Amino acid sequence: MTSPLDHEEIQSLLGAFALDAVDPDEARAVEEHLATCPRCRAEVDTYVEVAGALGNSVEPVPGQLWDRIALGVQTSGRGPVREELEATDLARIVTGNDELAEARRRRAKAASSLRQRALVVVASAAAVLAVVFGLQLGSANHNLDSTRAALAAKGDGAAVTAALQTPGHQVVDLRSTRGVRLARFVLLPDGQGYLVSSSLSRLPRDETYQLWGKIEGQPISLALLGNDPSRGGFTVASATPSTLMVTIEPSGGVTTPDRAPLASGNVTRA
Amino acid sequence: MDQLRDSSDAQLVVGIARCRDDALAEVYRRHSGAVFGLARRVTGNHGEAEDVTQEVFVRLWNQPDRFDADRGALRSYLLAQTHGRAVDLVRSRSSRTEREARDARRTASEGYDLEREVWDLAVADQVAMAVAALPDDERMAIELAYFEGHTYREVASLLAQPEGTIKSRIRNGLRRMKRALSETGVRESES
Repeated sequence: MTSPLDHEEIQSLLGAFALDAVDPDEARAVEEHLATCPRCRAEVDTYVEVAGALGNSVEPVPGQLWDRIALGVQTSGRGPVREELEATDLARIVTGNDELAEARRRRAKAASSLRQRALVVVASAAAVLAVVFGLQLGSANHNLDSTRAALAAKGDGAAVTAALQTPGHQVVDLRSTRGVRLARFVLLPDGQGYLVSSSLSRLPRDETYQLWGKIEGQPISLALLGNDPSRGGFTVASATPSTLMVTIEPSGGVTTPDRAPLASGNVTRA
Repeated sequence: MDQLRDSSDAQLVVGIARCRDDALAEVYRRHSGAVFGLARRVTGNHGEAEDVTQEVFVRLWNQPDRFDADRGALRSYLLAQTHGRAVDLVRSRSSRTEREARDARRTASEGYDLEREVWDLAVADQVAMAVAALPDDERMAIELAYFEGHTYREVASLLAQPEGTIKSRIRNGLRRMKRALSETGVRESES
């Protein structure tokens, strides 16, 4: 933009501006103008309201999404300062009242057999990948190849949702030494595990988060989570460890952790 | 908790400003379906829609003061934030292939407010009628800009029309929709 826009030119852009359909320099010019022009501000507000109605197409929200948001809130550095509300209370707010939640549980139960079948498919796919990569889980002399292979596949939200509804699943929160939850995993009785949510910050490209399971007192590498495991849906395979831990390692991973865990959490029997 | 249910959106935002995460949870219950729905429609990608939804609610938590109740409803504000972020994502992509292969698969819901969903569906009907009543050239310009994430310049190029014409069509179409929605009594819910 070589010259400032006059009032009329700005006005002609207001509709497109409300739809985020202007170029960045035009957007800046409109914003500057709006700061001093109540009339144009009122016009834009009207268009934003119409756009809101236009975009008001509701879709069911993935069940685990609130967990991610709660994690983001927890690590935002801005509270929450209240401690009296338990996570279950927040979940109840998010899922509606008790009666509604119960109705949804019944509905979920009715659909569970279908989801179970879907889960078996996902688990089978992971198993196939594990074989392809030569996975040797639980091997006492495991090597780095097998630890790499443990990161079997990038799952999706449906798999995580199904895992969270599988009887006997265990949710494991990995917390920092200061008690901040940095990641949540769900483990299934058959050894499959999924990263449900994470607030682990992005690492440089030459580093990776590495997931470990303590089995018979020994740390066994379960997966390389990459340098930015912010999305849920990783699939890891494991024996049943007593503890899960995450360390930061060079991008290729290591066979034995020589750094203190960034976060850890005990696996408790359901 | 019942108090929260009876609170207006504006009161909930005050609660968020006071670090009440239960207020954020209630806002999420009311509006997450719409936020996620718009993000999914614009990005055409489930994972990106989740990211956008997360960002919008965490941003509300971090900057509740950016919402000005005098300028409109919270739902409009959240959807404007959602749209802006979703469009940024779409424009940052080198390829639009993913958008063209949109997956309309619906995912199981565990959390959305069903009563509100019914209200939303009723509103959606009215909005669909208002959109359908627009002249084709205005409707097309608005849809290409809003749902496809194009700038008005790109829309002009796509439709082989002067840029000024597209700006006018978008503005006139939005005005027309505003009138139509006002006549049918559709307004933003203020809970």
